[in-house]
Amino acid sequence: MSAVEMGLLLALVLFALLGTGLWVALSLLAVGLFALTAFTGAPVGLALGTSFWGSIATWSLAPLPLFVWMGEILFRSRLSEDMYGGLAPWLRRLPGRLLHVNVLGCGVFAAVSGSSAATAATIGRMSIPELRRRGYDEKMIIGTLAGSGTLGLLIPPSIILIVYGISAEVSIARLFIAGILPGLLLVGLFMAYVAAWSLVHPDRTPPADPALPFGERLRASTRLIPVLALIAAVIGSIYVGVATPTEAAALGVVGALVLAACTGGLSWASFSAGLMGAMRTSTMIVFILACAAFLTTAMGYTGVPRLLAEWIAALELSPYALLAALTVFFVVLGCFLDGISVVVLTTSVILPMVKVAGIDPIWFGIFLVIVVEMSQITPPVGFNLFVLQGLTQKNIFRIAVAALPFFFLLLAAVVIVTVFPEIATWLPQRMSG
Amino acid sequence: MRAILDRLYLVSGVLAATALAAIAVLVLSQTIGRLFGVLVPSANELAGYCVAASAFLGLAPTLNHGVHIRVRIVTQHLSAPVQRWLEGWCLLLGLGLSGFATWYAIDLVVGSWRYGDVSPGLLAVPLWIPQLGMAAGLSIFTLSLLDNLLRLLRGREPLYREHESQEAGR
Repeated sequence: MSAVEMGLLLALVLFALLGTGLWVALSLLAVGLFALTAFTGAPVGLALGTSFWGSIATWSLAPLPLFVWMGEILFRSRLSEDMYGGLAPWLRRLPGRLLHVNVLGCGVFAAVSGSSAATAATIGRMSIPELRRRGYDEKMIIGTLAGSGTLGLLIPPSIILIVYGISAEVSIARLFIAGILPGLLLVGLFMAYVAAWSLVHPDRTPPADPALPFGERLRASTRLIPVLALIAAVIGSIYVGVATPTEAAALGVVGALVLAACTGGLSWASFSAGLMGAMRTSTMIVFILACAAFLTTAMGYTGVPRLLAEWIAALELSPYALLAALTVFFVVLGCFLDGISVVVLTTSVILPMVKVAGIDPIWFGIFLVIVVEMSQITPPVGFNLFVLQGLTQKNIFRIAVAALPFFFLLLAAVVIVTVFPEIATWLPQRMSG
Repeated sequence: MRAILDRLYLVSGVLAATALAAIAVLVLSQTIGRLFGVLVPSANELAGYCVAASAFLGLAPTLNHGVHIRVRIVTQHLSAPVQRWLEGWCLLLGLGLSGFATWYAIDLVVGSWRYGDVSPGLLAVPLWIPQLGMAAGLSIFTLSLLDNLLRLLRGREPLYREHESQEAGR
């Protein structure tokens, strides 16, 4: 059997199992077992025990549960209100007015949270009713939130970049820093689109709220200081190299607890609910990582990724053609799978061929995450769409249509980052250490 | 029996959450200790063991809360009886896979105990102790899959069903 045939057979088994509704982690485990028993004589049980223990009981995984916890604490705090109150008074003059609250609010919250769904939910909870009350265009409210929510994946801290860093064995600190400029690029693209849209449709933007006096505006913005300080402490300490991502995450948890306590959003009930919620989310992700680590080991025994990489290399595609093909592949995959599953499958099978093509793994992580962001807003499986469905009670396909312009903006960002890879690679090259 | 099982899942979840909080405490005490020149022995290894304990002890409560990700886009369009058959298939296959993993996790613990393996850091922790968390977590996970399968066979809904129906989660 050739490598391509083996690869296709394994992919078929995987999608058949996923299609019947078997949990993603267990499907990865099943395919790994199948690959080992069908194609190799490797000791299956030993490989299973050691890859589970070796991949999970490690200090390098520690930032994942901690950043999940930090996000859960802030999700339950009053940050949502403070963010709206602090940002809105400054944005009334821009074309598009308060729609920019969604973009900027998501951008700021993304810098303390590693999840796109939590970002969209936190900002949307406050801004949807406020913007609706003022008569903003429903489609734009939903679209900006769905699109900007995905910034949670790219702007550090990012759970999915940790998952990529762990499974691709790339420095998480560098990945985080690499995500900053592409994240800001996306914020810029989204804001430009909102401004352009409202200049074309002036009749669909409601009038500005009466201006608040300057002093009043400043006072409202002081509510943003704690969260900005938290961002500076967490990301700044990683950038200047005084803290590892794990230490920054532990610091972030303490900062989030202090912030929640000071704004009166911390009780024993919310503390334990946040901790239990974080435990479940992080268990789900870490179990997928454990099973993916076993699948990677199994794939290593079969030699399929290496053979596929050689096969791709023999095709002599240009890196651009390879990236274009991968983009299409990931977008299709992302229609049915969540982002973390896409990332772990990629690193198990596709990373060797990417390395053979001479693509920088840090840059590839950023590319992959932007493509995964696109998959967050494509039906039928797009987590931001589910969140907005919960918040607005609208049909999921109507939400997807509202999010479509932002899908194309993300695609534009993929093209820009591919043509100018320095956007992702310049900052990490400047890091100390 | 029901009460005992639910208590077991709850204890497992609380232990997992405690292990998660312990990661933060270990990392912080190490960082603060370094500022004052105090060394917290083997903090890195211990934090790693807490990650494993948290993740594996969390498996069963995460299952029962419907948080483990699965693809439901195909199955949700099928008729109710077919869905029940597929649910049974998923639970049966999951039980087999998890049972297999549990067996070898226990095998790992027994091996570490027999050969007296210890952790590499300053505190030479016998490795079977932290590995016990993984074996216990996988055992409880296997038990919860069996529990849910038996519920399904008796014509009741699996425990995670009510959470899954409110799909708008994260």
